[in-house]
Amino acid sequence: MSTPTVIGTHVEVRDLVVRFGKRTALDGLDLTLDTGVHGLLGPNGAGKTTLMRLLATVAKPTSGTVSLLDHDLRDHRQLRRVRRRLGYLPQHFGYYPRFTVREFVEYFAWLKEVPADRVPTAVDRAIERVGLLDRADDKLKKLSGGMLRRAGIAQAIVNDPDILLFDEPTAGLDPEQRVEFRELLRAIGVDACVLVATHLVEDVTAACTDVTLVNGGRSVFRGTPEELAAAADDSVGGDSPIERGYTTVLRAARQG
Amino acid sequence: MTSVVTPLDPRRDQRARSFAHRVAPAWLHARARGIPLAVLGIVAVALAAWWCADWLVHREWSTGADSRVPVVAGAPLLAVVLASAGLGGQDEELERSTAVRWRVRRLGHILGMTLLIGCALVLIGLWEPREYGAFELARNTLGFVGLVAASAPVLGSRLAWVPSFAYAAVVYLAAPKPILTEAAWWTWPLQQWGADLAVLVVVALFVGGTALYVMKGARPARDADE
Amino acid sequence: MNRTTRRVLRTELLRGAAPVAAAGVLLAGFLIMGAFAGDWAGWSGRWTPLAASVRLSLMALGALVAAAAAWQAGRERRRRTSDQIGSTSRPGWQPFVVGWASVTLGSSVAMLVVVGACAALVAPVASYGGGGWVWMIVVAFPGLAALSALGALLGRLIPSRLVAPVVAVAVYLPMVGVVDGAGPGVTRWLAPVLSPYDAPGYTIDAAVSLAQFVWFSAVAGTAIMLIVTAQRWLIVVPAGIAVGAAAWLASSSPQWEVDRAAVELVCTEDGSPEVCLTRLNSFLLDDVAPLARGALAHWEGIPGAPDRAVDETAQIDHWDAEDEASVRLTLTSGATLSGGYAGSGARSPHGWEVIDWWPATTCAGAVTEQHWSLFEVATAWGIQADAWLEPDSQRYLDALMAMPAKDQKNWMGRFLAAAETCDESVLATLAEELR
Repeated sequence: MSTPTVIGTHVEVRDLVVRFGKRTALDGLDLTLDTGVHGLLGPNGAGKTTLMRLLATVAKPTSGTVSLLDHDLRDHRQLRRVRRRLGYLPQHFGYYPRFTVREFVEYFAWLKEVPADRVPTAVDRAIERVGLLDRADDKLKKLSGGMLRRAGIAQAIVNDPDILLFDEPTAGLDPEQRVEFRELLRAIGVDACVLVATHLVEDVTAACTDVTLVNGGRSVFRGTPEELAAAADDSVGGDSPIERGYTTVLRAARQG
Repeated sequence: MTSVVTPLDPRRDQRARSFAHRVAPAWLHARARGIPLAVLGIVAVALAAWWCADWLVHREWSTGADSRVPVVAGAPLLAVVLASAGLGGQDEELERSTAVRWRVRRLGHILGMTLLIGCALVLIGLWEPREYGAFELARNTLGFVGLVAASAPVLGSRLAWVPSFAYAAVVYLAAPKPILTEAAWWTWPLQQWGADLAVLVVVALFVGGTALYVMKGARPARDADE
Repeated sequence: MNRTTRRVLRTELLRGAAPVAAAGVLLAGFLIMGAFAGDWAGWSGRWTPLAASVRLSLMALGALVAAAAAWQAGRERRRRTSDQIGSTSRPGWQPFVVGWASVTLGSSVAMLVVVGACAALVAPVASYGGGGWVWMIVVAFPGLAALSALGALLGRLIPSRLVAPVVAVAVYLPMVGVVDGAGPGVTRWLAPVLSPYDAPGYTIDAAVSLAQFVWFSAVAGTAIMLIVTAQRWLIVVPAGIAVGAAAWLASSSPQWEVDRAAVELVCTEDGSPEVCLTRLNSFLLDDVAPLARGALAHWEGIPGAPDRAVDETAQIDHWDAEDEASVRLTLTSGATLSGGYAGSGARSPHGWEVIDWWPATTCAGAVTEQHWSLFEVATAWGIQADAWLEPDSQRYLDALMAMPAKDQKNWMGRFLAAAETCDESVLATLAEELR
């Protein structure tokens, strides 16, 4: 429906530091992302959610720069332009139980300033892409956990974002829904930059063009899923090559 | 600490442990329900009510004891509203899945709340216990606790205050004046101590509301609010 | 406002706190207005009391609406959507304003329904339509908007689950104080409630209503601007207007004023004895005239007896020599919604004396006091009410009533003449006759 509006870098993060009091969540992180589906892996507390909130422009770094779509986020006009091109599904997805799916997605289309004449089709398309069209006029409180997640995905993609941030998006989805979700990711990733923070390495293997592994607030690996699998040391445990690769890289990072 | 509790005295060890197991979780539970803040609020309400009642009765054009009616209705209402938030947990469904005897705890909750508010208000109401004083404050406390307890299973703890507030707000305005004892069954918050009907209604409200709340608990907040 | 904004407003009206607030206003509004209809200074058949009742009902309705607005404004925090919404481009004040607007609009429409229903009952009955009551009702709406704006502001700024109930009580209780006459005089004109409402026959100047309109609108504007604008100095505009209106209200010290046109007398034209009601109450004439005439018939044949009944409201701020000799009618309560009168005999349904009379006298206070029982007896005999009397007076009355009807009238005639000229010896004789 819409053509990519940016030429150049989607996400560019330099020397990013975020501290909450004494705790350092991100510690000099660098990251450059373009179109495609990118996986963000890391143990709990590695700083994934902090990074996602930063890229979603809801948190501010202690130091370092974040540039999205070649815009400077400190300028509020540029920030507003960026936000129009942003989609975000937080880890704790909040919703309004009495809204119907359509009303909820429409509400977010409004919040993202989708032009009024495009809203009805954009809303229908987003709901259709997550497979909720038959439930579009049901209230959110009537939906199951998996359907709620999909409504959350629909609100994130309603504005055809250039940057799409998913924090643990597959939690609550059944295996079939996860397969469908990965297909959706691949489709969106053709002309947008999709970043998926997850614990589930199989999601990464199946859907992502490349993987970034963070640990202790730093990026410790960047490469394709195949490269991560190839990094595996056979002496570590794990059921799949990529799990072994994940563990190997993490251990090396902790020792180093 | 470990050097004080010698392993040679198992009873002492047990006592120490039972203290930690009983008091600390109770304090945590109280804090999770926002009870310390509510207690502070209730004390503040009691003091404010005392001051207001004193001022209302002693100002120039005071009409005597019945100028305390707003205090007698308002103070128990406000205190109960402040306490009502503690009738349900942050995540009621999660809490219910834990192995605690919830019915006993709920009953304790209601009785504790009634006792605390009742005592605080009766204490400040002793300026003149009969005519719009301690007696009416205690009666209205019971009534509003009953209303809030009956509302919590239907509306959830966050909205349990609404019926009590709406009821008091409307009755204060709509009650026929001068206050008639014949209308006591619905104007109980405004009645004098002599109105037996008001007491009956309040007792029924309290017993019914408490029973309902003890059986059902607060409605889980997930779909109640918003 | 584009199409999507309208759709979102519609969604909020259906799914937010607005429908709950509207339902609350409808229910509480009808209950309160129903209770006020025939009560003291009730609004049955009378426009200005209707307006005053609507404003008094704001005490409860405004508190409910302010709480609903606070609840609505805390939704993002309560439902944990702050992050999702924070990442969107639309400035955060816009969903806030739409939320506030939905609660205000929903409750205003509900209020309009309540007012409209009551007005539909008054319209076919009312005998007096002036007095600026329209403006008194109009002010109720910015009053509601201001309370909901304050509620929304607090709900947004204070992260506590207790905000909504505390806002409700914090709106209600000060208004109880205002109605009660507590606090400095100007506060009663800055609160949405319009009280104390003295009695039918009074009104307030339209200029006061206009100033209140400006004041409430500016308060609502200031509260909303505090969230809306990044340029803090812009708040000076609505805040300045609010301060200006408040200063005007404080300096002009408004009053309830007698509505001259409302208290003009309208009299029966079908012969004597004449019954006169104020234009405001004259819709009751058909029902009250027989009652008053029944009482006056009791006096027939007594020289110097009252031969006329007059609505007390006509003497709202003055004593009229001619009216003083008449029987007074108190009609502040007891009117029914259909325009009839619910009282019978000398009593209104609320226990007030409808028919009242006091002998005209030139006696000094001390003499009146000395013969107090006689005056009480005369009044009790005259209005035929079961009033509570001093034991002495009650004995006198029993003695008087025990006489034949002719002698009763004779005694009353001599008493009236003696009271008129204050002939103390005759008064003493009259007392002796009853001993």
